[in-house]
Amino acid sequence: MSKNLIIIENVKYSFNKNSNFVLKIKKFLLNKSDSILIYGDSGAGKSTFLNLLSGTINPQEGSINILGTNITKTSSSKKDKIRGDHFGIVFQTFNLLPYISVKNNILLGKAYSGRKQSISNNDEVKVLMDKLSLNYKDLVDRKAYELSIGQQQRVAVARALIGKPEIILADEPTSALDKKNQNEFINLLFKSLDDNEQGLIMVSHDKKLSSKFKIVKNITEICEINND
Amino acid sequence: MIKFSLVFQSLLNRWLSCLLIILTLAFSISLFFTVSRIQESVKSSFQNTVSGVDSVVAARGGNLQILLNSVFLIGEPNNAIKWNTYKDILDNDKIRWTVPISLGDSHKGYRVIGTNNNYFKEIKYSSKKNLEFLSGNSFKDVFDVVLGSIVASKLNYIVGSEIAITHGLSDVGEIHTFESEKNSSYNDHAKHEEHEDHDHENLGFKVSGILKATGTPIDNAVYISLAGAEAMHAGWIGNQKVIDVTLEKIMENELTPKTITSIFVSLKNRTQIFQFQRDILNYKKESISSVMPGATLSRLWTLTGNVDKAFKIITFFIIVIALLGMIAMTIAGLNSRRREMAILRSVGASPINIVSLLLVESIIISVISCIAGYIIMILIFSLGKNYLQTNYGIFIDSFSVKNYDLQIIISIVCASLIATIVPAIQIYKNTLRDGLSVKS
Repeated sequence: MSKNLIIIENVKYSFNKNSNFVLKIKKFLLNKSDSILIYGDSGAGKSTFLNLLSGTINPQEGSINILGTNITKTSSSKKDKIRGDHFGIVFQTFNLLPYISVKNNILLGKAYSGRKQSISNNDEVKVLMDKLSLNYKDLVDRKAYELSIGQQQRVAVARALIGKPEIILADEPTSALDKKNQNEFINLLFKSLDDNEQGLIMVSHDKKLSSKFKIVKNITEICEINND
Repeated sequence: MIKFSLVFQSLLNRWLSCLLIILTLAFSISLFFTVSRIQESVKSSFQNTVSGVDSVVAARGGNLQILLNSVFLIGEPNNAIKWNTYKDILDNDKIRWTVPISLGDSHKGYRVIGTNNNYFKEIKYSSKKNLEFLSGNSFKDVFDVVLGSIVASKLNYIVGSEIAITHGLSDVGEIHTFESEKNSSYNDHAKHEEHEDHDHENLGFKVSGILKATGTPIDNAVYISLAGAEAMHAGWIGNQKVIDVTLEKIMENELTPKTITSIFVSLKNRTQIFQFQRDILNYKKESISSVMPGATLSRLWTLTGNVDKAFKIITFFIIVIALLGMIAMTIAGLNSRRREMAILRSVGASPINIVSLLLVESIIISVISCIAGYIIMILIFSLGKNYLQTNYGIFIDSFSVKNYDLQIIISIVCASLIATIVPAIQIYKNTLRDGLSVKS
């Protein structure tokens, strides 16, 4: 299998035919064991970029190749399957369903993926929680809303990592954390990644956290936006 | 597994609004069940009571009033007819048997029927079943009393108990306040004197027999012989006591009644009913009429039919309103759950998956509501049955499972699924538009 996880070429996206907003991506690559930090101001197209990658929106032109499949040409249910099988996604805040336990929140990460379920057993919850410095005994049966923000973000990482997806997307996962916790979070995130296999794309509004990343790019280097 | 527990936990998380929706649905469903069932039950119980009686002869008046009063013991008794009229009618050769009925007295809130032993021999209930005695037997003596099964069990009477019959119809509630001790009416005499009804406490009636339960108004009455009724009324005109009489004096009198309320008639040949009615209408000495129970009841059902329909339509709309409430709750909840949907999308759930979660939710809510509604209906039945019997003399069948229950439940669940289409479309659009970008 090739070392390319994601190949984006000549993509052009607008909300609809009459919209002024047009986002273009000439070329974007994510390889195995790459870690890419994309920074930039809000409104620069970060969310749209992540939605394109994960297949929840479809570009009008170009190709988005995920692990050898061009998702711009597949059905939306196939896209949902690819996202479930090969992606782990961490949001900015409120990553968890507050009313279910930590354990179920983590297991939710593989609930819609046959692939993740086949390669992961339920012991992985403990392994991941240990890696992410979450006290298994204390926290595993607690409801998510009882956790601190820092703990919630780490549970979200565990959910993203369960079943060893090839691609990890993180959308400003540290923005709700203070400085000390931000660094700790990034360290734990990198420690938990399977260095040889997984590729990480993290989006952030500042590049202070860039030291650990292999590649650091401004969003404007990737996306060209016309907003007339 | 986790997907299903997700639905449950999500519902639990919103338990208050869910509970309210379930309550509204459950009450409206129970209303629907109860209304249709009581209607059916009342009909069959009325129909069961009149089995075998071809005609009720009484003083001319409203047919329905005559029937309700003399057969179902509902309402005030109509005018009396003369004993001689009864004797004349007996001469009619179309008649197979007759039962004279004399109403107007009560015992502790239960109607007293003056009649003769023909009543126990000839009256049938619930498609031609004969009346049977649980214990004892019919009248042998002037002051013998036969009790319906409910009267006997409610008042704790056995064969041999001595009871006092009240002249006039008493209010049930008032009478029942001092029913606790069966002999207390003798001791608490002072209390009774102020009461507008009058105990014939000097005339001891004695229970000679108790009837088996029939599930009709027959259970709810006290039966005395016409002679006993006459003896009780000696010295009374209307509700006023005019002379003091002793038991000895009464027994010296001829105990033939002067009037009765109505006559149940069975004909040798039912096809002669119209000729018999003409005979009755042509009776010159008194103005009397003959009521056909079956035909009169059918008229009653056509009268109440529209009310039934109106009730059903109202309860139907109540269910619709409850379902609208469910949609409103779901839609109101959607915005705050957009984040939840985005999380599910991020782990690979398709919009269809998310819509199906919503549908499972509404199935759970509607099934729980149906079960709760059914239980409420059973409660209404078991509590309301006694209330209707004691207060209105209306007998309804005990609760039973009906074939159409399941159909109703299934159609309500389907209706709630259809109702969920609106929020489902909404949520489908939301998930497509939002993708993974979650707005807080």
